[in-house]
Amino acid sequence: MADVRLTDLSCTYPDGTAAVRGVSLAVADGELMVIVGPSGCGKSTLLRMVAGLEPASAGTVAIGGRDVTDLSPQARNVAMVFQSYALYPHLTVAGNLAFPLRMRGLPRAEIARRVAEAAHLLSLTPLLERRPAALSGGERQRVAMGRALVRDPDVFLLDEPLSNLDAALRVEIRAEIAALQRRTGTTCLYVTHDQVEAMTLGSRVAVMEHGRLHQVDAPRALYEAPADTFVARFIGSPGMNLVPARLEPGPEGPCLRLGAAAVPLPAPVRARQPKAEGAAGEVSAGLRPEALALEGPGPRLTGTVRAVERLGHEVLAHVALAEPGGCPPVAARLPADAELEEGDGVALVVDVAAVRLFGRDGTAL
Amino acid sequence: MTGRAQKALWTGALAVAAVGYLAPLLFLVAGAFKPDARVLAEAAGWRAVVPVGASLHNFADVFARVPFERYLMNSLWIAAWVVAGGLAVNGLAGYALARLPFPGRRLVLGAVLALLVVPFEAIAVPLFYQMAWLGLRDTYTVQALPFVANAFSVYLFYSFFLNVPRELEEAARVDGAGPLATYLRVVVPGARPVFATVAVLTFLTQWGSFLWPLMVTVGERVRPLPVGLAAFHTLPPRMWGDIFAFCLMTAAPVLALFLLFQRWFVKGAVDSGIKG
Repeated sequence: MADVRLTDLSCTYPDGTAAVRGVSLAVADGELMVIVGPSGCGKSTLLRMVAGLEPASAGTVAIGGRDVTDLSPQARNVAMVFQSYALYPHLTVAGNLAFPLRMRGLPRAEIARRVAEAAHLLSLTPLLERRPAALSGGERQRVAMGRALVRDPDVFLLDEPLSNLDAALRVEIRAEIAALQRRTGTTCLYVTHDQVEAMTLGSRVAVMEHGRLHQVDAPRALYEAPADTFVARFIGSPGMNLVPARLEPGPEGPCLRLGAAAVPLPAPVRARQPKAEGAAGEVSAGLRPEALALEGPGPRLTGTVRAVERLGHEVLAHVALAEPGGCPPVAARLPADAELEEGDGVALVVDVAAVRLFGRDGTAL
Repeated sequence: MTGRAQKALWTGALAVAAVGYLAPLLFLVAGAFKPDARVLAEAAGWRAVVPVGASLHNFADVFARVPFERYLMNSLWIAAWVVAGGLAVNGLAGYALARLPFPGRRLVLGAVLALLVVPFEAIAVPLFYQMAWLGLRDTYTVQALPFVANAFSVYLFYSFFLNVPRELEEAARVDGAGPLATYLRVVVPGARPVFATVAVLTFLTQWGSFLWPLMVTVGERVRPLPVGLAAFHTLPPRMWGDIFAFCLMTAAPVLALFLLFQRWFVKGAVDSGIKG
């Protein structure tokens, strides 16, 4: 087991495309770190650089305090689960599990013992003599996990390991992976584009876009206190609403002008975002869909309902605001019994204490 | 015309064509077993393909008149070397061209493609002098060595390896395999069809090779079957039954090999993007 430390890591392809730009990230020993971001954000490249499959153009990778930047994959003692599983088609399940051990020249008895152990742990024992072609998607996934587990590596690297599974199986195996990681206590880097997967799995989550790290934090902190507007919009389903607003000085501190109303900035917001104290001018007010309601005290945003999604336990209403104009429709999470139809006029009450303020450059105040 | 009648017509036409193609082979088989006098006498009619008075006499004759077993072993030995060496060398070359990003890769690939269109006859004489200069005339080496590296085989391997999923090789590297172990333990087992295709094609080419062995062999010691056959053909007295028996024994191993590897051969030809 070991910690992983990436320092100013960059990867630029020969055609000049920068896939990863100056990423620094520290993953503690035994931690499950999820790297999340949209397609093409460089998260898989980052993982492959840790594995040694992609050379670093600049920066260093250290595993367990040892600089492995220039070491080949086989010298790093990491195990990787690929998106396609990459099982060896000519070998049986037992052969696949034994492969990394054979490559390390372990004695036969030891290989047999470890294969049996991993197979038992992942309920693969009845499948040991089958070939990958005769396995279901979920079984293949478990064999890929087993092949990673069996060698007792310093670090697990998982590259979108659930993306080829159906939704129900994904939830099941997600829980299995989390349990397995807790049991083995092996440091784990897990790449996904699915923010729900990221939030449910990671002790910490790193959010990437265009090869850069935007924020590394616990799931709850990412949700409640996103560092910038990208993280605010990317995390959460639907993401945070960003409504143009103004900060104005008032007699008892800053006031937030939101739509037609101006309200003093509540104490919790001022405590969370001290930079808002002296700021004045245009800002973005970040509002989670659950910070908008149909009734209650607080400033109101008026608009027209554009779409209504009834999810059973709640209703998601997408509302085009009358003022401020020009911003995309906001999503409001309303009780299941909310009676709204497309085209209705509506006044959404804002829970100002839950607002997150972003400056004009998109970073949180 | 109804669909059924059309189908019957097609089947009939194809059957006639099949008989046309098979006739020489049947003539060969029948002639090899017939008494010598009947072979040419009955060659012009349907009786050509009927082995009347069949015996193994012609085969015994061949073994009595020339060291057939020596020719056979020579041919097998040379073909085995070319096939084994070819699989090793051309497989690695194709893999390198498909996967390793070395400088000049495109140039080498272009050269391999260009070599595909150079007929062997064009380089036979310079090659002869080169081999003679190396003192290799009348040896097994001279018959095998120039044919181990083969542009067509390299190209077949190259096109097959291009389609091997990269993630398999990456998984092997992360699992602790070096480049050679990755090739031998992951890439090669998945490429059995193309190895079989190349083996069969190389064997066939080598088995029928005539011009080069004729140029470089002197006596019977290292003489392969095709040159032996040509010599037997001119050996008086000319016995057609014996010649047919010699021909049949020369062709039989090739037919057996093809029937044995037919499945692999077709699969490999399809997978590597060529049509069989």
